[in-house]
Amino acid sequence: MNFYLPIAEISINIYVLLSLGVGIGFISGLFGIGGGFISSPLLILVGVPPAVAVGSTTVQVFASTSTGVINHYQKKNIDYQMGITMIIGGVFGTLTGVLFLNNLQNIGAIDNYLSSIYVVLLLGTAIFILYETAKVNIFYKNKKFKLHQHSWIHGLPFKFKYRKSKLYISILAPLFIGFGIGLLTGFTGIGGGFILIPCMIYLLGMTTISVIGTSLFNITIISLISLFLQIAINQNVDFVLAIMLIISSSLGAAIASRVIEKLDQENLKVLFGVLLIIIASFLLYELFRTPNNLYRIDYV
Amino acid sequence: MFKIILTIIFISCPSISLSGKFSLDKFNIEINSNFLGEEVFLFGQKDEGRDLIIIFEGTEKQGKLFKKSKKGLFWINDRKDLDKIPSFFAIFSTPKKSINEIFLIPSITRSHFLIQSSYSEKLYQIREALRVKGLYFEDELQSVEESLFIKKFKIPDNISAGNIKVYLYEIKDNEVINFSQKKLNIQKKGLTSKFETMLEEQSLVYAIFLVVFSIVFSLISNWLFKRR
Repeated sequence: MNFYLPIAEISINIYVLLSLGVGIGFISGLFGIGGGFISSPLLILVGVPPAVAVGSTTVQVFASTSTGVINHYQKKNIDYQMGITMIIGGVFGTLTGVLFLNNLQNIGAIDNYLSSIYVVLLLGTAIFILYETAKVNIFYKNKKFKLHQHSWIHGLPFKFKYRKSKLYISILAPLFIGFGIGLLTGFTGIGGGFILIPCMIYLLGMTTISVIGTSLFNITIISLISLFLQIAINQNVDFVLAIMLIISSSLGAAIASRVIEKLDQENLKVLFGVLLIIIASFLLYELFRTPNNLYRIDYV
Repeated sequence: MFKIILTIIFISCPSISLSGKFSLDKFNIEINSNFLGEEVFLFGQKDEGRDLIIIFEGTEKQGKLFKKSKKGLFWINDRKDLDKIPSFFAIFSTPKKSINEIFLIPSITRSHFLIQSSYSEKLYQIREALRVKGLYFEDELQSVEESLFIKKFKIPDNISAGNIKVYLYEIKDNEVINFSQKKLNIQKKGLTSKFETMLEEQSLVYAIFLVVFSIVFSLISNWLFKRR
């Protein structure tokens, strides 16, 4: 059974779309991620135009993180000072990302650039996950690690006291991290939690208690800003696609929450890493293979 | 069999106007959330000794033509901006005239941008790009007995809203001796149309609507799935 997506201007099999959403939600639920960096490339692979995939994924990211923010707000796990600093950087990053996407769409290079970035992100994350799993389980079994060590970042000027996180660091660091995540959100539609959280822990030295809440707060606000900018500048958010993704991914996340305790976490991580490598391989294949059609028309 | 069907259609459908010598089974197509493309049935009558060329030409729109070329390992798009590309183009003829033969009839090529008498690489590329999207056809009208013809074709789901003009040319010795024209109206209806209009004209309202919906939907979904 097919369903017409009014902004993407294509019809798509509803079962494919729902399965995709459930799968994304399931993975998100298992690993505590927004799922944007999986849903965007998968939507492109099933035929959704890249710009619409990016725009609609932004909505899904916003929806999936907004409820989490409410929970963390109630538990007082959000460092608002840190969050707002990153959001300031993120606003500029998002605007840059959305304009960059618009420019690439105009020159017709969006598919190449997006696929290349997704490949780097997916492979980078997969390698990181597999390495970390191997490090804990094989290389340094039973050894303890320091999560955070002082680095050049702590020598930057314009220092500010972040009371909730008990940090005294330069505001430049969260500003730049926020800018980078915003750039990623505006350009690729992903929330960037899988990059933001390690940055907050390893680079800024935040405590794990406030990291999750603060990152969700940052991602929610940045994806909200990105959503408005995507609609205003690129007009690439498909309401029907976004709503379908939200509903189906919620179902997937609910299933994940039921089975997560029965699964071995370390095996899951390896499985996740392998899954990312498979998606990246498909994108790589699409990037380098001889195209079936040499010509394409896009109406303005 | 077809003759009987066509005769029955002609007699039983007074709403189908048969000015000229052809008609369509529908003159309005609505794009709504269930729209998966629509089959259109073209039928009519032709006089003996005359050929027919029927051209469907959609509303002209601005667009961009991309041509992929390999640079290093990557396939890069070269872009050309175009002022007027028909949203749909189909040429049906009986007996099948190749596109090159149709190109030799100046009174037809003058009226249709996509088919010009002189060979143009750009027009060829546009036709190929439209063909890939299912928005360009060249095909033969199917003869039924001696004087009737039919053709069934599909308007794809990626069609843009607007009128598709349908031109019928009667040809004898490579000269147009008769001409008639009809319109096939494609319009967006229902929720589909409302979303698109809202996105184009009231993008702020669209964004707010989407934000509210996504919060409400995610809260409801969370509540529903957590309770079970």
